[in-house]
Amino acid sequence: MDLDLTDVGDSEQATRSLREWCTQLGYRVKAGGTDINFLLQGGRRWIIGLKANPTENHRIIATCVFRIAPNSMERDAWLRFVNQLNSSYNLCTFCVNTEGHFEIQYNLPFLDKLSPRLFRNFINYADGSLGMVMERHEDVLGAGLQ
Amino acid sequence: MTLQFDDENDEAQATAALAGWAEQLGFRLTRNEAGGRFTLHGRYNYSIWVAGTAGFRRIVCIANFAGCKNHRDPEGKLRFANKLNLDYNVSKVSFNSQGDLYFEFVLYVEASLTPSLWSTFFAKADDGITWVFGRHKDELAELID
Repeated sequence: MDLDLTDVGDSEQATRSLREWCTQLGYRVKAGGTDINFLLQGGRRWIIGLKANPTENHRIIATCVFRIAPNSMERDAWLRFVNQLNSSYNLCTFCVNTEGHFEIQYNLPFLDKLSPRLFRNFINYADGSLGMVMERHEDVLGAGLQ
Repeated sequence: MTLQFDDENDEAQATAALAGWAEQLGFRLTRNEAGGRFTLHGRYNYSIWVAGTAGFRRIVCIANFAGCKNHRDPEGKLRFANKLNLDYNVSKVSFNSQGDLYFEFVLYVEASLTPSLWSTFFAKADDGITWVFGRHKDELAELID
């Protein structure tokens, strides 16, 4: 059963619908810190948000956050590293957030309806590609993240 | 006129199918870039290719802007890219080793793509870049030519 957000323009309402739909798909979900996101357990724990826009397209934003170890590289070195990741891989967006944590974002734009298959593939892809990057950059990320 | 990707298509064939379909929809493009990519010409030029396989394909679209050769603050440049990535989660922004600025947009599809999703996706990409350019005019004037 597709998620149907036809004419839905309220992001909070859309996020609630998405959360309920994810539960129906069998995902383990729980409340996030706000009304505009929730936590979804895939291979990793994803913060899922949805920006509703019925006149353009809706977007699901899946974010994974890691604390940076206190004795890790300086912030500028992290910024160099995330830019290197961003320019090397066409997978997702890497950044250092305002709390100083390492953040990874995937974006799924869609029109009115979203199929379970596309969503599952999207989460599997996010899990898999992030795992690949973590493994390839174990030298930095293994020691640099908590 | 929905584009149906053939399950048997590899990435290069899927990219060629997308190019042909976009042309039929009236998009202006140049084919035969290295690696099978094509360039879609609109408000901005996007280098486009299809990655992935049957059932889950990623359409990767990159708008590239030549970096300013006289820029002398590489750390400031990285802080700026990071800020854009944090503040606006529509596209990915990065600088390559030559200092060029990249905006990258990704559209995920199953076996088919509708003209309305494709068109709204590009309109959103165009508007996103224009919005960033307007909002960060001063910083960008120093970073790109």
